[in-house]
Amino acid sequence: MANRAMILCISLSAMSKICIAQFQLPRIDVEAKVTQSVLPGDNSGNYSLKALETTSVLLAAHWQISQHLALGWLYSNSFRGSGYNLDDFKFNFGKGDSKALTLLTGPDLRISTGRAKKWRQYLSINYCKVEVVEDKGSFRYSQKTNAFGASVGVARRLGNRLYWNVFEIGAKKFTDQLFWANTSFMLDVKMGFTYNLGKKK
Amino acid sequence: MRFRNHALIGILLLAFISCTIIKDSDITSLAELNALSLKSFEIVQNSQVGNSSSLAILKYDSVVNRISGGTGAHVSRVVGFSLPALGNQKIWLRGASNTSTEVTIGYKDNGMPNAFVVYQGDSVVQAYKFFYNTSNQLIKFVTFIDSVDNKPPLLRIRDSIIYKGETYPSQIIRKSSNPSLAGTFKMFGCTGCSGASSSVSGAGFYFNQFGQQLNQQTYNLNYYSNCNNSGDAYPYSCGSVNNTSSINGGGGPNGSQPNVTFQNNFTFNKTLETILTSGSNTDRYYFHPIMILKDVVPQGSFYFWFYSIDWFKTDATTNNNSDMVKINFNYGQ
Repeated sequence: MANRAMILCISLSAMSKICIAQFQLPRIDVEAKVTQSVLPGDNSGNYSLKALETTSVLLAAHWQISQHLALGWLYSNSFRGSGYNLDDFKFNFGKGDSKALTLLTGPDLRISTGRAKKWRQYLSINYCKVEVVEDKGSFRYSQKTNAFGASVGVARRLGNRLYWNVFEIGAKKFTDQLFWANTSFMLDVKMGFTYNLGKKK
Repeated sequence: MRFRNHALIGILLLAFISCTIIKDSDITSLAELNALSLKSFEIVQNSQVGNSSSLAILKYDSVVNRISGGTGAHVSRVVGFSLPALGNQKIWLRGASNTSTEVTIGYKDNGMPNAFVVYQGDSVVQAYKFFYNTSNQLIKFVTFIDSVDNKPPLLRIRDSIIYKGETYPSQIIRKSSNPSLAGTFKMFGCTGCSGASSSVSGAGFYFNQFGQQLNQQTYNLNYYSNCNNSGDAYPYSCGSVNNTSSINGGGGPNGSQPNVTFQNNFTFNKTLETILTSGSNTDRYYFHPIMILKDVVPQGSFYFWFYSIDWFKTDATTNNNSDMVKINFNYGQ
């Protein structure tokens, strides 16, 4: 369902761009961020996944509808991660008893303050397809679900086209909890860069 | 140029949408997890005298229909593993030479083990029989250790298990062909253990006597629930034996050091790994069926706890060694 919505959204976006390409200059930005995500688990549950954390690369592109509003798509895939049980979760970062992977992709609406000399704040609201995998060695748990999320951040202007996303913090609520852990919530912090491909807006 | 940018972004987005990190072999529900069965187990030994790895692979998993001559129970499934030679390091196989063996496990209709037999060639070198009461509690466990080449049987043990209405046993009464091994293991609630679950009656126990395998020294078998990596869900997932004897390196009743420790890592009643460490480089474990069957024997973690220590042989010359045996469990559909 989410995939269909995504395809429809992209198709409409692409068609509208092609149709109005003769009349309007494109206003697109792309961004690349590093994301650190944490799924807090269960303290006292029987099978007690205490926490799962991953580090991801997030790529996104937005069509800037106006100076304050941009609609786009994000994609985030982890390149490292760990699951921690009660015993391991002692801030031994990266030394969990299992490996973890996350993938998120979905439409993203960005609401931002207007152009400024230095700082620009923004709110990002998204709906993502989420995949979470915990590799226990002998086998892997995995779950596919959806999530509503939001994040707030601040970007510093580095040039006419380049912004540094200094800090962004967000949260996502899954529509289903992981079947092997009492968790359906994700926190993340991001840092990266945004580059305007088109005309400033 | 701009149109090319759009096209590039569109292609990338479509590629992203189709990406997934989930594999067909992944477990996506508890039902799928419960359907997994043990396909192999690997015994890894890291010791001062050398390292080794022995991978026992599933040889067959057959549906049968027969009555067990040993227990009288109906057996509906037989599973066989080929077990390579374990070497002469930390974990040994009693009665067998250091050579490859075949492990055969018969299961009752309800999925609980009925017998565990180790063959060396065409000779039975070990046989174990499991007896249960109507509540599916293990009430008798019979051990038969033989050796090849027409030598007399090495050892017979019959453990009768007394529950007194509780989930975990209060006594294990041992009869043996070796009279020095006969006796009664009494279990008491551990008053000094931290974090013991109140939901399990007598969550911590210790034994007030031990068998010949421990040279009749005085040992305490301690249960530390706070070394349990799953809260109190698996109350016997880990523990240790303290050498409380002043003989052979122990520190006495008030100053003892762990002489052997063990820990299991579980997920949803499936053991992923078992780790045994010992304090002395001359310590030796003996492979016991409960090491790979604790997930399918009711209160199996408790019996693993009991028999791992029961089958642990130590000279206790040092207590600062880190020799380790790790058993990794691999599951599949």
